[in-house]
Amino acid sequence: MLRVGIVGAGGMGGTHADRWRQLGVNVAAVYSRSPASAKRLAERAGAAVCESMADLVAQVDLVDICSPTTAHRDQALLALRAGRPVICEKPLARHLDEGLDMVRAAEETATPLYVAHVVRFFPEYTRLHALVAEGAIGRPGVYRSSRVGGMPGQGWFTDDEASGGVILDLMIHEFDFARWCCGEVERVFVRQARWPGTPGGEHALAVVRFVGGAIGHIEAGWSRAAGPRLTQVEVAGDGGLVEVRGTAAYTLQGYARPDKALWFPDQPPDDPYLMQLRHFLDCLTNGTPPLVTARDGLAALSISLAALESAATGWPVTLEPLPQ
Amino acid sequence: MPLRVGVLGVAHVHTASYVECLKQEPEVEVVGLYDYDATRGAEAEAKFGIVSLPLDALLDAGLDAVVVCAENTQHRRLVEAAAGRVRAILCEKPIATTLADAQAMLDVCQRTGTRLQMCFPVRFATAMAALKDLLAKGRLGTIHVARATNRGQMPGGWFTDPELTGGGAVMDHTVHVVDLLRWLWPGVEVAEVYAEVGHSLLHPGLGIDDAGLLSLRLSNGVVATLDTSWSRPPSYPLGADVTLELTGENGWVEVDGFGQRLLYAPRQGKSEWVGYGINTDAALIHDFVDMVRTGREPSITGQDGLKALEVALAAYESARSGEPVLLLR
Repeated sequence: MLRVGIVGAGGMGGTHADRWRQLGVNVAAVYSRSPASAKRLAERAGAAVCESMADLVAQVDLVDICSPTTAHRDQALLALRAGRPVICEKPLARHLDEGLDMVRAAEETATPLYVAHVVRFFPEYTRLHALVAEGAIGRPGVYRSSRVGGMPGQGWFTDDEASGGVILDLMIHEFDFARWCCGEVERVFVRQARWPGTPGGEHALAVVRFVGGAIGHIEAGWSRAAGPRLTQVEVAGDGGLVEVRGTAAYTLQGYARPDKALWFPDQPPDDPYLMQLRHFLDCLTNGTPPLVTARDGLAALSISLAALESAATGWPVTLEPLPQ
Repeated sequence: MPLRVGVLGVAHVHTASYVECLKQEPEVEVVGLYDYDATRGAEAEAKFGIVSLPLDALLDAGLDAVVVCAENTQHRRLVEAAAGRVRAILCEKPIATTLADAQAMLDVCQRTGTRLQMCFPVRFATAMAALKDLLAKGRLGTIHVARATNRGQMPGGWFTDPELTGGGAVMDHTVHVVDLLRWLWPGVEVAEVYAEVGHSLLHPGLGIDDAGLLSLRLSNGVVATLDTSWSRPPSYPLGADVTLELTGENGWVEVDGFGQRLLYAPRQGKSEWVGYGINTDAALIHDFVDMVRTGREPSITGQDGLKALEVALAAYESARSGEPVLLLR
């Protein structure tokens, strides 16, 4: 039976641990720089707590990295060089050279490295991409997507050095999906607003040009002081238009006392986190080609880094070809 | 005495609506119409039941005001012809296709004491008035971000002829939202414009821009984007949208200008969203008529038209140069 080790015991570590259990996969080990968090997650998952990354790698067949972004590189290299396949949360890394090290290590050791760009597994996004890919809207011309919510809870997200802020941590979802639908990005221009306070906010509006000629508007925000989050995507082409407005499209919902609203989402079959991990498991055990490759993760990282540069300088940034 | 109004040019798709709204106004008489295209003039005469006259004959008919609904590049000629012979001019957007033309129109109206008002009916949507009130009261705290769209279906006809329009989707759809932003925050101007403009992206062979994404920095620090694309296919249930979402330190607000709608599904053909609620064209015409009657200043000035045009032109310049265009230091 496959043994998974989860690295990082924050929100995403818990999310993945629950899905692995649903998939009948043994979460054998947990490692976190915070022993208290590691202990909590290990108890929830029925796993052992490891003292070190090396310790975890020795006990498992697959390493699932859910740690803060700056830790990804060293943790992934350790696992890959020990021949352990890796699933790594997005963004792949904080800097391009780190991401490149990871991709090269995977290629040199012929060990799978999967990047958890989970948006590709949201059923409405998957369906929209399928329509675009089969030519239902013709050639894409104008792409738009939005992902706006409140500020994330954990401290490291608001530390630019650690997370890259909303452009690297959140907007990368949108860049990855845009690239999946419309191909490579040629240049990107970003305006960003940031305001400190409680709650503070950070919001970015990107305008991009794709190599294929299409243009795109991409929005990401940790900026809604209240109310529901916004997720929206549409692609207009020379043969039609497809749009997704919001993700709250349940086929069953209800309201009951004493909760103000009690909804019944279509889970678990549509749960994107479950779909994602099931897919990676399928890739690992059956050799199915991954829907999102390590190089896809690197490409999304490079667009986000260009976007950060544009936001900082106030100028459009043309993307460089990625090194092999 | 009824107010005597003439229509100069009937090319614009809004002509029928403005004529209808003028007819609904009490004590307003639509005296006649003029179009340089005699065939189009005759068709309009039959359709609206308003006599088609040569330009000078119409302007000599003792008019109080004219409504200019000609193609964009015709606006200057018609405003120059009418200025001094009527008290007020209502001009379709965009005001013109070059800043020089727009300035000439402002100058001739200034010189002759003619009042010039622009057609920006979106200002009259009730939701926009509520939004302006909300901002004035500071409910959302400092606003940092604005995301807007003014997308529509490709209008076809002369709208795709650069000789008559001066530009495609960006020229057609930039000015409404820029005017809204300037109106929501009095005294605020667009300080910098960056744009990606797409030519024949959605309509192969169209020969003019049909997609535009503008990134704006406003003088109050707000960062904004505006989608001007003709990205709604003919089958889409809504012809055009105006949406605006503002995010501030204490919250956010979203306005869908045509959000009051019901779905009409005919037995055959496509389904359509049918609007209800305020008729913004009627509100605009009512406001104009009131201005002419009372002699007050126009609510939407020629200068407003010029400043909105400036942003559309800056967007084209940015697309050509690949660089942001600074309008205000």
